[in-house]
Amino acid sequence: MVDEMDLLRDLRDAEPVRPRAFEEARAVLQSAIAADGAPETTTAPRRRARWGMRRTVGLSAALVAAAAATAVALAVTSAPTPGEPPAQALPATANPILTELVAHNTPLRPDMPGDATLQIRNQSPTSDELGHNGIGLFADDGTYYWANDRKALQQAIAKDGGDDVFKGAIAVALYAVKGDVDTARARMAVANLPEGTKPDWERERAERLKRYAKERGENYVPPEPLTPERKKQITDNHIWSNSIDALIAAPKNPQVRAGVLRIMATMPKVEVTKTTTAGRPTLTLEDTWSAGGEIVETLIIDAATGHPVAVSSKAPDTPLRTIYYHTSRVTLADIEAGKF
Amino acid sequence: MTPDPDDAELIARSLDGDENAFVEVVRRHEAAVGAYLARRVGRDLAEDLLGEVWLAALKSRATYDRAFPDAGPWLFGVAHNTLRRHWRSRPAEEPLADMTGMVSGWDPWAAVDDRVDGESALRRALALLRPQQREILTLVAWEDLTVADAGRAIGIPPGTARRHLHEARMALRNAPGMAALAGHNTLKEAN
Repeated sequence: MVDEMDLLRDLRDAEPVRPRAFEEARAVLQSAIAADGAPETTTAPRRRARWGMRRTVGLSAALVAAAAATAVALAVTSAPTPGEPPAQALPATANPILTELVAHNTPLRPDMPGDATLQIRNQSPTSDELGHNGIGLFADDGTYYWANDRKALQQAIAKDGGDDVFKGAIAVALYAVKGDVDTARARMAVANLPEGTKPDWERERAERLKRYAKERGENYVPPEPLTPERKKQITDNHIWSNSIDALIAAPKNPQVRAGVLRIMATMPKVEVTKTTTAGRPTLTLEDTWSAGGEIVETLIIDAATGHPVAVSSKAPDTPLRTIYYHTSRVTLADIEAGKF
Repeated sequence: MTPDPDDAELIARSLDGDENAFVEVVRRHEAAVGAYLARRVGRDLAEDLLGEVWLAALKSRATYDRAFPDAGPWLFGVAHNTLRRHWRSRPAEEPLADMTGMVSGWDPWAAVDDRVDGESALRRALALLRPQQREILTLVAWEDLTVADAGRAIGIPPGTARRHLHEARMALRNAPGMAALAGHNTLKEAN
């Protein structure tokens, strides 16, 4: 007896995808991995988190309380107190272009409509059409939501599927507005880690390599110890990555922008040039480091405000990838209701 | 001898910085996902879209529910969403075969229409199904997924998936011309 499922199965034959296409698709994936997720010891692990959303299942009362406390802390930090001492001056060696931009954008109490920033990332400098990079939503309490499309974003909010991954970096940026910039840099280097964590990158790396060697039946070969110069390079890269995370996560907050710019201004390896992006005056900040070849990452910001415009990265044997950021102020309630 | 890590473990490793782990997940499932795409949009377009599917999966792997050791249904879901995005962004002037009024704008079913032209009764019946019914039905019939995994692929609970499958099968069985088609096949088999 032939039923409808048998009839359907008769229709499933299709010309198969060719082996070359599988290889090409894998090459696309490997390029993206190389550009986005370079080895843990050389790039900030949170960079990957920007593309995704860790699931927070069953947010406990304690976590809710902790999130609320962090929200209060962020709000308090971002509201300047009358009579508060002025920002500590940047050193004379600070980048003059960024120093000037900070001076011209005296951070004020954020006066932003709504309670969140909606962010669409795509490959267009001018259009905010949804592309392949999904939609990010950054609530003003630091909670981050991400989804492939609008409907999934609604569901993520409804299910409390947010993440606090950027709260640490935002808090450090706010500290940097008036605080000691060396302290801010040190804090930004570990802003992606839980407070009080002191990572031992070398030990972690050795353990990881041991584990992988065992799984693959290979002999473990200890890696060369990191030189002081290399350690500094890694730390600087973490500062760079976490600073960008803060800027991307709170682009509409002038204080966060000012704090990030103050930190960036004191990083000698970061090159700043005046550029134009789609007819708009911009500044391009560029950092370069070595990880199996030279990796170049650039952050493009609006020349007048410091708003993030784009981030691009170039790794060996991979094409330049640029993501443009299009942001607008919204309310969580509207997004959850699908009004966007 | 250590058994091969399951997909969930490989995805965890990839989030932990192991660059090869996610590629291994892709290697395991590329033939199935490639076939899924080819059945719905034809080989050429499937080959174009495959890289997009892997990129979308890479970007969303942090959301992977590691309670499931097999990432296959999840990857079918990513492929399904990639097709939806593809059809949604397709230029308006591109013809939508003959069922424009029957299916929603993101529905990839129109492309399948060409392939099943010889089975017009079945095609018409499939076209009349709701998109989710059709997706569950074809994931089970073509991709050999369990009903629960088919539901997981498109993000609906197992009970709902079973209901969709049941409704879809009933709709196909009762569609005009289907009884004759089944009878024709029976005769062919008998000969």
